[in-house]
Amino acid sequence: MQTEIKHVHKSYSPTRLAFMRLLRHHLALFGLFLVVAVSLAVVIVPFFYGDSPKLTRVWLGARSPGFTHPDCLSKNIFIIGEEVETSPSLSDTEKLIYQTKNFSRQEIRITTRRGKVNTIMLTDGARHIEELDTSTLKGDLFRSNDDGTAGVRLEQAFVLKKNAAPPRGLFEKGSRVLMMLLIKADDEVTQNIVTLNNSIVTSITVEQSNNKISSEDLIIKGRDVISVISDGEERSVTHLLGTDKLGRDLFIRILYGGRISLLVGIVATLVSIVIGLSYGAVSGYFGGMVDSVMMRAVDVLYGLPFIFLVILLMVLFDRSLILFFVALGLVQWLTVARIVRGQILSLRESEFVEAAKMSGASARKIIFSHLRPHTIGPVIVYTTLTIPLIILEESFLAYIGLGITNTSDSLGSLVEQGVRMLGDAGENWWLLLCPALTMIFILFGMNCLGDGLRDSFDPKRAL
Amino acid sequence: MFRYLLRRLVFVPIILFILITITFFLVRMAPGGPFSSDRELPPGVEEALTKRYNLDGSVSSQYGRYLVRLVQGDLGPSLKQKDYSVNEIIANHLPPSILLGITALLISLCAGVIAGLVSALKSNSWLDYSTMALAVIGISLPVFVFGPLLQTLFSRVFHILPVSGYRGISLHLILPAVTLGLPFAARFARLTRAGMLEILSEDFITTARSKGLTERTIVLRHALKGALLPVVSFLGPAIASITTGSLVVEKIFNIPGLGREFVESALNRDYFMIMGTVILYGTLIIICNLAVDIVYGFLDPRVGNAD
Amino acid sequence: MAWLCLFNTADVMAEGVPGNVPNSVPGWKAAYVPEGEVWKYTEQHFTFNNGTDPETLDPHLMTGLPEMRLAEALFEGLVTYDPSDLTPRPGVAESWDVSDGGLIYTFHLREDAKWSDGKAVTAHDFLSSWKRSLNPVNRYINLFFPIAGAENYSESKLTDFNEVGIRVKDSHTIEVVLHAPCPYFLDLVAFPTYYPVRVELIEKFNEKWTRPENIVGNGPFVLKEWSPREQIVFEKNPHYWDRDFVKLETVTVLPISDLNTAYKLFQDDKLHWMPALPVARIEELKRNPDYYVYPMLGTYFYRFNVTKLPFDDVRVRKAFCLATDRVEICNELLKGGEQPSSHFCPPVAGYKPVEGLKHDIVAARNLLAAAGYGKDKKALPKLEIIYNTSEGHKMIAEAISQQWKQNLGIDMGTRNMEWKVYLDNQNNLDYSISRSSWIGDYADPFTFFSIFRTDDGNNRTGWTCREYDELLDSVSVTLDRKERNKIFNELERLLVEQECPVLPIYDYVNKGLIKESVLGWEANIRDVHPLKYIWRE
Repeated sequence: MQTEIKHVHKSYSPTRLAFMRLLRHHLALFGLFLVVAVSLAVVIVPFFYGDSPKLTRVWLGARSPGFTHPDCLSKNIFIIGEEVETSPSLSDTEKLIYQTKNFSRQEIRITTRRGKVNTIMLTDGARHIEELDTSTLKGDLFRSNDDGTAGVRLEQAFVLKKNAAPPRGLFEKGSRVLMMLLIKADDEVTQNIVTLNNSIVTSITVEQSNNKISSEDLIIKGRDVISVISDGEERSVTHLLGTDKLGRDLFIRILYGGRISLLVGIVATLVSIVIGLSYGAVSGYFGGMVDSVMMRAVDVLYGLPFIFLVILLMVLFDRSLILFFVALGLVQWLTVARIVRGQILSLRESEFVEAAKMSGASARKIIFSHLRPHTIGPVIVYTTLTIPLIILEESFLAYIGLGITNTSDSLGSLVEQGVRMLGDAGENWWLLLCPALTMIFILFGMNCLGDGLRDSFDPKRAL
Repeated sequence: MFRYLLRRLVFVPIILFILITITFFLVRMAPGGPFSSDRELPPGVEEALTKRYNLDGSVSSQYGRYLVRLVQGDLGPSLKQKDYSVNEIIANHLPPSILLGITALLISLCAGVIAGLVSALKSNSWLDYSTMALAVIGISLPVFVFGPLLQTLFSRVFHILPVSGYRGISLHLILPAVTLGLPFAARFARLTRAGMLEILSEDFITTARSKGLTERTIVLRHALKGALLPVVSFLGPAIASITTGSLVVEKIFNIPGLGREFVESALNRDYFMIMGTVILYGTLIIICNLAVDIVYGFLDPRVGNAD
Repeated sequence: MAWLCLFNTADVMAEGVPGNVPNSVPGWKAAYVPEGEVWKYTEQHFTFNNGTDPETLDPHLMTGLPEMRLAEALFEGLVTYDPSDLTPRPGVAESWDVSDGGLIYTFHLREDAKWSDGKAVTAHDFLSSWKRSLNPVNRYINLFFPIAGAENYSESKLTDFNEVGIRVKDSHTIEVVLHAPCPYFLDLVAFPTYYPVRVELIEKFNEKWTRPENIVGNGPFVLKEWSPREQIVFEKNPHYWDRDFVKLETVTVLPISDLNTAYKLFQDDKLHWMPALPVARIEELKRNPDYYVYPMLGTYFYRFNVTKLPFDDVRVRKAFCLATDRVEICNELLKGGEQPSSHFCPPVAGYKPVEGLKHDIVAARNLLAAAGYGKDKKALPKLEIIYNTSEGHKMIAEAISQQWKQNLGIDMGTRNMEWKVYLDNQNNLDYSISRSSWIGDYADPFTFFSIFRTDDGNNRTGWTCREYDELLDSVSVTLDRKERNKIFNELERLLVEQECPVLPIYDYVNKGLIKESVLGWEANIRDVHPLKYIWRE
């Protein structure tokens, strides 16, 4: 008698089933979102953002997030007949006006010992002098703020002599050190007018106190610039996440750093998978003596501590990106091999392999088409959990000085720099917080995703 | 079990031998030698140094001589720390490393397992989420971030722990051990939670519950052993990673351990020191892996003679 | 070695003879006698960070400054350095005579100089020590070469040590014969290479002779403890002849390489002196009153590989030199007081360096175009600045490569290399531009210019110039200081204005932190701070 069969569920492949389970795992989805968001950001945003991660504006120094300054470079070079050398975003203009004030800055540092003046130093060249009479100084004297900018102006002239007590009130209460800035600035603002035609400089005029001078060439120092006006519009640059010690934009450096870290993570993991999968599959499938020997070899390599192997590789070969992929991948493949081998060993005895064998399929076909789908699961999980490991390992290498070189710094490198620059009172906090948060997002995302995937691929999981 | 053990043990010296040979030749391939410096050596000095430290002759003859001394237990002189032999350096620096490693492992095991258990038992609660979030942060940042931050917090802001140094079992050990153990604690927590959740959903637990056993008994007597399986299987790689993490911690907290010797000997091309540390670590890791496999074998009756 | 025989003999001779009465404190030393009694109520304990564990405590094998700082405490040579101006002062030798012509030095050892086990220090000790030190495993063996026969003995051309110009006249008189006048000789005698050691104990203990339980020295301190990589502790030597002058009772030396950790210890008052700083935090450190910075005898520069394109063309090298803004690097990036320089040798011993090439971007571009590079012309090959791993070198290399990008339109890579690989690449001329530095061994311009002789192992640029070599030879035989400085100026002009195989960046400074309570610590250009003179209040 025929019974009606209702609601025949389509037979899903294990991967499909896992995927469906994944969709119900909220934390994993959040992780996936993070990973995708950051990956898209690091890949796409740099195309729109402009500045190169290597572009330095040394006179700025480390500035906190949101810092704005006129759009110019350290040196803005204008030579008639040649292409203009200034901020790339200005190259389309026809008329550029740079308002500048020449100024020079000299740092003076005074210390006391037991109430008497101990050292008087002009910091450039570390020149120590015995006596300082401020009335002889040309320029204005200011106290120096903690971030190096000019603070309160010191109006009264005074004299400091070594081993004599300093004037009252000069030193702040309880402080033994006084940092001052001697600033000499022009009174007038100079207007530097440059006309361009298709980025080629056609004329240069310098105006100061109603004097107009034409010039064949002009070089403007970034720190002298007060404002930049391009075709009537004032142009400035805002650093979203601040700058580092060389005045480089932190946001773009994090994007490029993320690119490199992700690239290394992904490719190294792929390398390890390719090697490990093949090795483990062969070992697991053939079993017996072959398996024994191959696994003992793995033991040998496990015994060689990873760090040492990587250091040796870094030291023996040119430290290019490719070497990183290979070296870091070479270390991890052992784990894949073991996982795959384990899976294959347990699956080997299962029914469908028996069936395949009986139907005459060759060993190779069995390995690659029947067993592989079932190992995909653990391998995918492994991938998402290994990429974070590799990113951390690269950070470690950067810490000991064997990191990626000759490219923009990786994320791990940025975090390391942030830790080193962090002051006692939290100075330069953004240099640590921003790269660290980015790294947390990526790794957190990957790990959550990995957890979710692992749960999804496990048929015993009841969600 | 015994036969399994014996079979594995037989391989240990073979593996070590291959390790030593590969390392010996590999290390001499690296550019730069132990005596190069930024000042040119006067003529004759390099030869004299080479001879004095037994580095003359072909590489194979050096290898032979090295093996002969190795069998007698002599690991050679250090080319960088000229007043000490490799044996002495290892003897001096191994105890702090071991102490640090064990303390870190213990702290991370306890903290991690407890956190994981609590999370699993109160799964999907705020406690669970926050603990797991903290755990993930613990494995999302490199060790050299946590070290100085903890140092600043506990030494400079709160003044309750010393900044650095090593005084054996003392307050000085706390910060380094915690820093070193943090990523492992995080991992153990996650593994324990996952393992626990898995076990708790097994049939035999339901059976136990229906039999009327208290939750406490169930957890401690029946579930724990199975739940700890993944933790134990992770112990092997954990011990290996602790050696690399210890380098950073030893540097930051100025602990005279072997981790630094390891990396610095490679960077200094201190050939004999490199060999010594490779042999030491190699043996340690192989034995640890073996021990872990045995423990795993006890815990999981399914494994055992799978070879 | 000819290079050592340099100046006016008269200069050094006048300094060499100290005050007449051994018991009273000579003038130069009076500054290091504490005023009042305050110091007696302060614990005379001093801790400093040496940055690294010493490679060895054997004065005849050591090569680095951290080791020499320690040797200075444990041993004492015939001559010592004045802590503020580095003039040779009496050590174990309470006086010395120099013969006419400067060929024979007779040192009169003090009667009360003793080893830390109570035995007297005799001239025989010095003879046997110097014999041991004149050994090819000693990297500073060349410091002996002014002595007659020493160089030949070291190369085994001479096999009988008795023929080397060192003679023991009696138990407290030792005579040294030079093969040519060398007024700088006293400076060398103060080096650890010339320290006395107990040879018979070394033979007994071998390399364990430097252990605290075995070591015997004649310096102001004895080695109480050496816990490798943990700490080294010195204690005042009760048998030291000048023990009444030594104020410190104990000294602890720490080998902390993580400078941030060291800074935390310093702030905790667990450290009194840090000779090296975490430079990334320079702005913060400058505002610490304990920060100090003084000029140091050294120069930071980049080498060009003149054997490879494009730096085989002098115009290209000059263009790069002209395009570098050193003032920006020193005043806006480093901000530590480094002196931007376009000269190679810092001002020393009365020498006034030349101007060098001033920063001129337009001229740089023109030169580069004249050499055939630039837009619409030959493209430059892919270039890299190599440097050894360090945050400071990285910063400078990245800043300079960006300067060249903006000023010359050239894209340069920066590559950090592990120390040994970096050395290897430099020696094999396998680089385009390499970061480098040179610290002077003694206070004379010759130590800077001599390294660019054609065959000198420290040249490492592939640059050869016959005129330069000839000038170097002529300066060795010139004794008049003014004449010599003139020749040095010519050498420098060749080096930094005409041929430019190097790109000077700045003159070194010494930066560190020292507590207010530390006295007797003087700044000098060689960063030598003998513990004997230090005390705390």
